[in-house]
Amino acid sequence: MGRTRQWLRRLRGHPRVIVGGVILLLVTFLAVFAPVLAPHDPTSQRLELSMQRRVAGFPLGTDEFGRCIWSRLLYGARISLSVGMVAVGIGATIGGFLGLVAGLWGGRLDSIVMRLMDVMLAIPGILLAIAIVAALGPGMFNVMVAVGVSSVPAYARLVRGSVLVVRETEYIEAVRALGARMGRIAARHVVPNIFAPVMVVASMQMGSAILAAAGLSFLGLGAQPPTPEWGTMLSRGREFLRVAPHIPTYPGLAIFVTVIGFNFIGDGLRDLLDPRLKL
Amino acid sequence: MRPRRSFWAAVSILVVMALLVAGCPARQPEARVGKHIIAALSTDIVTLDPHRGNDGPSMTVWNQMYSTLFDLNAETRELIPKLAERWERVDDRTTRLFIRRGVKFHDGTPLTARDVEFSLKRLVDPATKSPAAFILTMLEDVRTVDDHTVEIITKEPFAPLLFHLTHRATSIVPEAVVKAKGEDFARQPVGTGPFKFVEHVKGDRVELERNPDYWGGAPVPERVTLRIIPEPATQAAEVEAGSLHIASAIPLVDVPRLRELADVEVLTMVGWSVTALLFNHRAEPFDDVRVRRAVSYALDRDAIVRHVEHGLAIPAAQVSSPVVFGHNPNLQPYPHDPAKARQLLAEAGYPQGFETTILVWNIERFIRWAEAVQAQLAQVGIDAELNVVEFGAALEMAYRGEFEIVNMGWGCPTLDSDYNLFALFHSASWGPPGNWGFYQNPEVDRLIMVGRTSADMQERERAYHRVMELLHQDAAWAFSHHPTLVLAKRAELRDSEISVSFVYMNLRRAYIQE
Amino acid sequence: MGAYVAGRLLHVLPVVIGVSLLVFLIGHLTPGDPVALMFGLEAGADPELMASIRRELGLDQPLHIQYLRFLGGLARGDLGRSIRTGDKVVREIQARLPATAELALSALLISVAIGVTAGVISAAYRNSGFDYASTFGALFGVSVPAFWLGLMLMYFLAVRVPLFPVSGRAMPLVQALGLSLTGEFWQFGMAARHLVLPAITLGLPSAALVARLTRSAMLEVLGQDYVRTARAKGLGERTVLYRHALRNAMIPVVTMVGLQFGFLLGGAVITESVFAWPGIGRLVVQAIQQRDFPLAQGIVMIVALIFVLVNLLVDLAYGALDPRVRYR
Repeated sequence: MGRTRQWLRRLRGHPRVIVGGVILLLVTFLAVFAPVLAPHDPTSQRLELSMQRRVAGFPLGTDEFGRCIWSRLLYGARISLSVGMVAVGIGATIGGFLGLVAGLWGGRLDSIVMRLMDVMLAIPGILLAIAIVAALGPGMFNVMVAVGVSSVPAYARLVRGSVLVVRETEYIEAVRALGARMGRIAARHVVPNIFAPVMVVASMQMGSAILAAAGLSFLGLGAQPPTPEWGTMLSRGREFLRVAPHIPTYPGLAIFVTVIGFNFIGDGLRDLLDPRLKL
Repeated sequence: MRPRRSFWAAVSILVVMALLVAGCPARQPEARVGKHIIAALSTDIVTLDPHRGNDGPSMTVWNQMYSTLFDLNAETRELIPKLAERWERVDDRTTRLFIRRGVKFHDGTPLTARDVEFSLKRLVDPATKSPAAFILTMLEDVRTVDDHTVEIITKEPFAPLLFHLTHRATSIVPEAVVKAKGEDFARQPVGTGPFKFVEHVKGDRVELERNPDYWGGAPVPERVTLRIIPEPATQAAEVEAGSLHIASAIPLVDVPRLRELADVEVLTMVGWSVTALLFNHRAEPFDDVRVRRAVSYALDRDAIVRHVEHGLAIPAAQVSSPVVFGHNPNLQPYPHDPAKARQLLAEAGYPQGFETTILVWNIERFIRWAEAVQAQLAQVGIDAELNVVEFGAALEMAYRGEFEIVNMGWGCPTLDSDYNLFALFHSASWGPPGNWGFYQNPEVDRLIMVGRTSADMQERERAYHRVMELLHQDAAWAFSHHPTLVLAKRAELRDSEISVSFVYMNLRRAYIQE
Repeated sequence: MGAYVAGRLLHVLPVVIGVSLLVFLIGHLTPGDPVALMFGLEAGADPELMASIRRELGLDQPLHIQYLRFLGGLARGDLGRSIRTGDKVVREIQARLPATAELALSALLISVAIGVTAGVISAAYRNSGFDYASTFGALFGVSVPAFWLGLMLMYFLAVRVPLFPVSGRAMPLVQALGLSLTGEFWQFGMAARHLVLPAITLGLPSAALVARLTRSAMLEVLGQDYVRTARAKGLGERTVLYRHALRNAMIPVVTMVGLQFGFLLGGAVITESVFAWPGIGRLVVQAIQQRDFPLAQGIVMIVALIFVLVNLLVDLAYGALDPRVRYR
């Protein structure tokens, strides 16, 4: 109890974390309760009501098929949040593991892994993602994989760097001298220390993942219709920018607010966990 | 507060730089307004050599630089003699063409029958690797009789031959130049068309200039620029701003808005293509005609035309659009009748409907249409999943017959139903040539061959009308609509002629009213 | 220093080979037949002709043979021919790389100018109104999709108020400069005006990133002992900020600018489509979609090479910024 209060007191000095947290809680709430909150089925069409800005029963109007934009945004929150989480999950897990291994073992393994990361880094992320989606075929899961895989090198580099710093600290050297095994050292001492920077980067990458998905969908490589994914709604709605601007604008705002939420959390976490953290 | 000042200093430097740039005199001093016409292509051209490509943008450019033997009047579907002045049938396999005299290539050399023989043979020669060689696969031989007479012999009687000679891939090239330049011909092309090639800036534009010696009379414009602008919204903005005279692709939803602008005109005309669902007749349940008919009854073509195509299409009952020879004007599309569709499904043994997958090309217009189709099929219990795949991958799957339903968009540049029917519905075309769904009906096969071989246009037309009826009865495909051709142009551009397709844009008499 | 550069260059080689293998594998594991695409839909495709073209292009060979051929060509500087146009890949790239370089460099200029200034001020006045405004602006910058920003700029600054051309590239900037030296200054004006909107569209999101990074780097440096010492010595705030802090904070920023180069090339894909800019970004996407393997591989190889070299330069730039960095 005392701990929680202490945490809350620390939080008070960091309004960004609070704002970001509130935003994300809200978005998560909307995503979880989408079936209860949505006035319509997100895929049910009423062509005769297409492109209406104001129409009774449709809080944010309708899209080109007369579908309820509000309902689509609610269900879309589930998809966009999972895009962020799955992509970041893939990137952070694979990248983190590779970075950890490279940093701890060093030597030849380190240079092989890091050369591999250089190779991936040398190909611009979006190109890598395009190529991966082209190979796997369009669809939301493949987009998540593509965005996740193309962020692997970023995590690998970050984690390796942090591991190297931690490894050289006297305290690890002492543990090592006591004869602890590598795996144990990693689990007990290194991972907790690199957790903070990974969290910060991950929270920011959530936003970029959602945007990357939007970019892929601009190129026709996004979610399979009629999936109400925000990025796809935005980029396919660009055609209506002049005639029915509400169609691309609401999903655009949804992305904006969510990205801000993740970034505020990331920013705040950095200040909170380690004000001197280098990113 | 000093750093803040430095920020504003940086901002004002950027703003001043921007204004400087904006304020720069950017117009050519002696601007040749009035004689310089700018039109847009949606993608870059593949090649300037008419025997090496088969894409719309390339053909649009060829159409300015080269001439074919014949041209088509889209309204009357009559042949217009171009490089061939006259023709006569020698027998049912031989056609004699009389080549126009006094025609000069851009390099000054005169056109002869030998160039015609060379060009047609070059197109079909496997070594040329023309993706449009199929246009003349029926060719047995081309013989030069004298300097201005040439005979074309086909393997079998082939009625639409002269219509095939309107296809831009049959453009005539100079034999001597092609042989001398080899590969470089595609970089320094020479034709007999109204405009001469100046330069091709890859990814950006193709520049052409007036050919004062054009056999049909010197064209009015001094220069023609074909700019490559991929994004339809950008093409629309260019026309609005006045820096583009003709846009080849604009967002359909923008049409009413653009129509209200005083200095922009939107041209719409019935197109030559069809959009449809192509069934795999070897895959259950689409081997059952009742199921195929049920799909056709489930489609609400009027709603699709009104809301998805924004009124810029006409509902389709057959493969050939009204501008194509062989279109059957008496045929009506299946009405939207969900009850009837459900009844047919029940008769076929699917009272609860069924699940299927529609293979869709990742082209926005098709995706949007498929989304509406999906919702309409759901109304009658057909649970169709959309599998949007890149065009190339989709094509590969379609070639192998790995689909249940695939979307189809097919154009008919010869404006003769043979182009549609033989490739798409004859059992000899199963697989990659176009009959991807293995449709077969012996009577349809027979009538298609009647249309292909008969010299009697009325007999051909009767055969095609009957084929259209049979395809409708069989519900071979679920035809949806014929998309309208939509172009936007500046009002001050006068006397440009565009019919049926942007490919055939004719700017010979065009000028800009000042 | 010379030895260091040589050593780094030696590292470049395995990376380049790795990129070639990765690119090749992804390309050839991708479904879709380039020859079918070349023929298009209405080709009434003749399977025999297609097979003979496939043979001629070597597409019927086993993968490892195709890869070795590709690698062999690469070593000779021969990237093969584009399947679609039949032109040499090197030629295609030569024709379109300068346009992208022009765009990316202008965007970089914009992003560094705006990003660094905003970042420094935010750090100097942490949690001030400016700090919040700039954070918010930066977040807006990173979460605005390029096509939206581009179409908006186009609408307001080219259609509504015709300050700039809507789209396209008048001529290469270098050529325009040459012409303006001969007195045709309007040529340069025209070329530069065409560049403004696409450069802003491409540069703004990365300006946002640069601003955020500069801010955090400055904050870190400002907390360091030597800055405190400098302050304690009574040096003016301005001297402290620019002479001591900014210089050191620039190290991570320069690193990121190097990495941003890849991001800019990626962003160019969309910006070039919106503004009909004849660059390499649009070309590579088209090549991937057309399964034009030689062209796609060639472009990705060149882009990767440029990326590696730029980052090598960035490493060398550390020395100029931080005298403590020694090259071994």
